[in-house]
Amino acid sequence: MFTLEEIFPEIFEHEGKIFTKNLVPSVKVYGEKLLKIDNVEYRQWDFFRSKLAAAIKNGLNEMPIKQGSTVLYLGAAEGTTLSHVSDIIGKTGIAFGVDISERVMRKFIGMCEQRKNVMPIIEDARKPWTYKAFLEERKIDLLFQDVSQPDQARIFLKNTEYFLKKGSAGMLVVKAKSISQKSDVGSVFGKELGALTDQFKIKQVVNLKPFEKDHVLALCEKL
Amino acid sequence: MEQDIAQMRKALIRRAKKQVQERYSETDVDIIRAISVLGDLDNAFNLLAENAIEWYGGHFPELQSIVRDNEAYLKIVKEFGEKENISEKKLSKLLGETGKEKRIEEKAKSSMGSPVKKNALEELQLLASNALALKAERKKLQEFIEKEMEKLAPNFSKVAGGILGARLMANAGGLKQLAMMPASTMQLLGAEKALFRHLKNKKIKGPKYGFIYGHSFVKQVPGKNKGKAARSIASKLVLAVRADYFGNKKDVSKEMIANLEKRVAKLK
Repeated sequence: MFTLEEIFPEIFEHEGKIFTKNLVPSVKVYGEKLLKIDNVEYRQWDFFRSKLAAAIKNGLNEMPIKQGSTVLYLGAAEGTTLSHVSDIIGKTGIAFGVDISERVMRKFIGMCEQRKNVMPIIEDARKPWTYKAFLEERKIDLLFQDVSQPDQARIFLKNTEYFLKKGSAGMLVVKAKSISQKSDVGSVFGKELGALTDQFKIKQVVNLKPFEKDHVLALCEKL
Repeated sequence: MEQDIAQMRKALIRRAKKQVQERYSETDVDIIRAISVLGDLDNAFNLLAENAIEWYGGHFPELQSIVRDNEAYLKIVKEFGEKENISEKKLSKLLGETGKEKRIEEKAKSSMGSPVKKNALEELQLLASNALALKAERKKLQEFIEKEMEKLAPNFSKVAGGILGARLMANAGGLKQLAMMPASTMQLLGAEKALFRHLKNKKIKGPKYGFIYGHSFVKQVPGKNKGKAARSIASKLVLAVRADYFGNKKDVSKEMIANLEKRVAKLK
């Protein structure tokens, strides 16, 4: 018998692979596997395509989003990770996907048209004021950031200032190679995460090996 | 509340679609795509030509060492087929006077190549004409790029040359990015791999030029001065592209080219 174990709200595990319930049944977002059990369709969450999935696989011990959560996602790209976030938060949740590149957003907008809880915003994440109005003072449960820019921590803090309240969660993916090609990877992580400690309590740092090279995901809570 | 969200979602999707549309109606997008196709066409042509030459080499092995130019070689294959048909007169008609016609005809008569089967020759000639069609498309595409570059950034494309300018712009990501670029970055566009290798390990020397190496002024100076020439050209290129992007359509390229010519003369 096929059994799925719910490891986090709305995230299921089976034989080392993880799945989310497909919000739009029979539609694939990025070519992932679909699985039907007891008339419920699940989508497999690819560790190599999504850094959040890789972090779950590598022992993330807390998941700040559940059904109905509001998520601000910086660096949405083609929306691979966001599609699963959209599955998790369900019809009552909202996810805002911000990305600067029109090229990748072409695909993302298509997904937004199918998933009613995802909103596309084409703006520079360095300028939170350009999309502040769209969020309409909503309480953001999770600020997720995965951008390949040299000033990752600064972008994260700037958005924190605008959108996070005490107790909200933040997830920051640090890509060492975007910050410096030459310095030691460990010291880059230390420096970037050190910049957060004024504003955040860092709860866990997950290395994304072997799915991503020189990446960590930091889970933190706004102080 | 729920209706609010639905409405906002609609508005956001509309806005994003409009932004995408605007981005793709910018004129640099076409050039960037075209320059990428240009590279692929070159690669495809070389691959096909290599195959065709290898194949025809069994029939007429001596030809390759006489006709070095792939395009001319393929034209001969397409036009004559079997080597016995090659004649001095028709050759000069096909390729213009090259002074090699007589030698080709003589070699064709005394060739050590084996006869070629009729159906194999048909395939081979089809291959040659397809490769030549790619070459023709490439020429047209090159003209398109040069024309569009001239319209988009007249000063920059005059100093850089159309194709080189387009290549630099594609690498930078667009005209705006190019206009914001420091000269030192411009100088090394296209040499990223060598640059990062050097940054990681200082024992390896850093690159002096990337795409700019293909600039006609760099070609004119001897090896030890190529870095200097590249640096001078890069510094003029950033000025030119800024004049195009921020300026009032004034032609500043003549003065720049004159200055560069002086500089190059000193470096020779």
